[in-house]
Amino acid sequence: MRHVSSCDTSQRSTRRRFAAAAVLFSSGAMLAIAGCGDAPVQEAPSTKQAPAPAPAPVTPAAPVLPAAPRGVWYAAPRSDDPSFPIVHGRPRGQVELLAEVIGSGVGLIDYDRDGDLDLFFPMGRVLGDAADASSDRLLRNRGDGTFEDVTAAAGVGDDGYGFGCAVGDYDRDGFDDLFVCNWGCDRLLRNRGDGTFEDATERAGVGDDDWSTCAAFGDADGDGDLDLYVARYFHLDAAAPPNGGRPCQFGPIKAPCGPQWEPAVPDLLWRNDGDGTFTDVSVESGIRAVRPSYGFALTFCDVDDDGKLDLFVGNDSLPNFLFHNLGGLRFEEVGVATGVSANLDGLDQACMGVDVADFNDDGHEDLVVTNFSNDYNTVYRNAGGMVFDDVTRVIGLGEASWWTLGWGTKFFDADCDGDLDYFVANGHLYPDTTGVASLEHEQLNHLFLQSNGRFELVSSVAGPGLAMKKSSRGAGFGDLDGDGWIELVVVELEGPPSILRATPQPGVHRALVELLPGADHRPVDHARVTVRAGGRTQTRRMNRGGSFASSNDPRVHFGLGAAATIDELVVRWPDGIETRFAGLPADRRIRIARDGAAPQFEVLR
Amino acid sequence: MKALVAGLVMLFIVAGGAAARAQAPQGKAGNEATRIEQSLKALRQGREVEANLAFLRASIDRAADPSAVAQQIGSALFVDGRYALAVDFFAMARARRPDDGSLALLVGRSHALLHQFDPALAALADADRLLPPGPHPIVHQYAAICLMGLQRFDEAESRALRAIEEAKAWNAALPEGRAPLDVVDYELTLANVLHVAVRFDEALALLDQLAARAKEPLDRSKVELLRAKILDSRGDVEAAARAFGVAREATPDRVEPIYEMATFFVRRQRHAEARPLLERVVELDPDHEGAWFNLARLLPRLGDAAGGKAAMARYRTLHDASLAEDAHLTELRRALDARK
Repeated sequence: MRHVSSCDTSQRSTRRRFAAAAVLFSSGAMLAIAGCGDAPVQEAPSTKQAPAPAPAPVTPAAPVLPAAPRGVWYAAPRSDDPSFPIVHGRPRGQVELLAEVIGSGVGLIDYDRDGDLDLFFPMGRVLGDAADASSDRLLRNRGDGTFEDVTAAAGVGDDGYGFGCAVGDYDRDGFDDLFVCNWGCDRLLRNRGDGTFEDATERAGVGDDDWSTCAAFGDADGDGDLDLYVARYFHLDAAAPPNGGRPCQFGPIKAPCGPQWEPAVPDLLWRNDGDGTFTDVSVESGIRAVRPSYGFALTFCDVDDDGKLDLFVGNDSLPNFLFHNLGGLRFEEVGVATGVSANLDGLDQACMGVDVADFNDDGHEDLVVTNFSNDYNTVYRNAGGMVFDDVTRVIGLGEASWWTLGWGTKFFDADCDGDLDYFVANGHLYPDTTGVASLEHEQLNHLFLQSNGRFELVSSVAGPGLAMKKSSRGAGFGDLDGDGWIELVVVELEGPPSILRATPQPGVHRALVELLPGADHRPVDHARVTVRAGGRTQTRRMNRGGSFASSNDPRVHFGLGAAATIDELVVRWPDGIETRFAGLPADRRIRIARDGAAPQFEVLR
Repeated sequence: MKALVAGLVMLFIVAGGAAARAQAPQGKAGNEATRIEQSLKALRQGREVEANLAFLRASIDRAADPSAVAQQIGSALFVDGRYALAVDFFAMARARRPDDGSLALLVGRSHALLHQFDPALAALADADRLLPPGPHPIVHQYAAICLMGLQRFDEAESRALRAIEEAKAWNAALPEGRAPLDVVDYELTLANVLHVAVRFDEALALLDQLAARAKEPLDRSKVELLRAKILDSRGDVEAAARAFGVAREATPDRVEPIYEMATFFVRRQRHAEARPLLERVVELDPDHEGAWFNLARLLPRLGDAAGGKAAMARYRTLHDASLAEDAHLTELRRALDARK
């Protein structure tokens, strides 16, 4: 079945629809290359045969203050950071629909290919306010720590009611494109490569008109182009809201009615046909062979490490999906069978954010979901053999999350010591929660450092950037300033986004691996990178997806601790080819291209 | 610390459910309440859904006071441990009968068990004010739980002590025909306050005293179950396992200690030890979703693929029925809303 939709705005204006609702409410050293197993192997000279050109010396880092007692420090947002508020509905006290409190995410995208990450924010609007000119925003990273608003010039100011976004080069022209999830017509924005985007929704046929929350690009069928999975929530008609428009009860407070009042809308899998168009393959792929659910977060993954991309979808209040890729664009849902559909007691959770990472460095990709207050965020350790265990309490993450309501999330190496730490953006869903139910609308975001397999909450000693209480939602993760430390871009429900800059710590080594397509621009998303350094082996993946409604830095970050050299670096490309390097210097941005050219090094700032 | 509280408050579920049942209306109203409870149970099991829904809808429609039906539905859900749903129905009833002390108590207890401590304390204060004069140990017991949850440990300890005193006073002046209260339940509240306040040694010492005095197997089971959890919190895994075992042996047919012990082993990948416990749980409670879910994942790892498949099927059936029941209850809430 080919489902083509363009959501022609001349026919259906989202702005008009919301206005109608308001009336109702009034209200290398390269390159030893060796194959592994049956993987095809690309020929290249060995490290011993061809010593690498000596990289430029690293300029000693200036002493940085304040000292970070736990080796990680996030500064407060700067006064010259973007100050526009994220508009996502009516002000507190006037909220009537769930869509107004869910918030949105952020996309980290180097749209102009100048080497640093720019920021894209999907935006909602003030329902019923005809004067509200809110639109999605694109901020260009000037490279000096400041950003300029290029929304108009880039042509990305969609005025749909935005939630999530996905980034990927779907048309293989070398420039990353944007997909925006809206309540209303989704948008595919094609990057022309000249600093501007064009609305390719209609031509591509991916304009779904229901409520999409998040999406991710991935080569699901292994044919060399990026397909698109879109998670959808429920059908929300502002003119005929759930429960007849009456509020629901959350403990002692009145709150917008949740998804259980309306039937779920099934998710969509769009196959990239390679000609700029997509085909809806939800039914034939097996994606539709499940009970429609309230999709809220997702990530591509490869939980059985067979080289075929699987999909993990976090659903609100219903079992999560793990779609196992059987090949041939066929998926089997194995969430319950593998143990990731629910928590240890078999209970469904609310699931606002997800991430996939090998947090315990055992070679298997683990999963995590963030959940509602009075529940814990759940970590599923991959035991191999398509079996997962809820190990949340055992690794020390079960208790701290009980009172918070988690959204954007990611395992990443915050202190660059070589193991993955864990971040959750927190904030209660309902604006009127503060002062009741022992909950707060504005909550502390949580950073946990990993040590010997256990996680410890360090938000209170990791700098003023983590000491703020806000009602946070989506979060994007990436190195914005080229120093090899990961910045956090946190979307707040009320107020401007928070850009939390990591303060480099002296004597700590790291590397940022940028994987580049070959001349054919075949995407390298989800390539796997394994680094051996300092006696430790780390396996990470190029994955922009996960978190909540956000898209992350595509570069693969490695904390190396005291190791000043990478003993070995192995890239397994999406086509199965492996490329090996040995004796690479640390503290570099390392650009590795699929076509086997020598890696390029750039000293991290 | 704050979160340690979270995992511990639920200890009081069983006692709370029994008390709610005790407050079910008697006589003709009692018959209606029993039928409502039976209909809700049938809904949960997916039996005769349409007929039972029709009965419940009719109960709402014909009731002179829909708040009574709301309370009855809430009580049935509360007894079943489904506090989030129960509190909605209790709140509906209370909106109509704000001066009903027993209803305020039910609202307070539901909020407490949902860890919504501030509104729980407010409702419990109302209950204390509205209930007839006399000892009301349960009000202070739940206030202690809330204060413990809010990490106001001194106040929590004080209220727990008061609950013990009032329970003793109630038993000393026991009205004819009424059963005495089990004071051990209230003393366990105090032990749990000490546990959550990380006063492990004091909590364990109190449990030693309780164990020496506990004559009933149920009391011994409750004491040892709490001891197991404290030892687990302290990181003394093997001692915790032994205490779980004592709790289980004291009441071989009681699900709670067996399931708690099973999940204690599951978390530690001790699957062979967890298996017989989970199998015992489903023998005692064939509708135990958590036990079936864990069996479904554990049995294949122990070489029993067929058993795992069967457990998975059972879990799915139960889980689907729960989801369907949630939808039915939403419909009943709508019906009650309409009666307002």
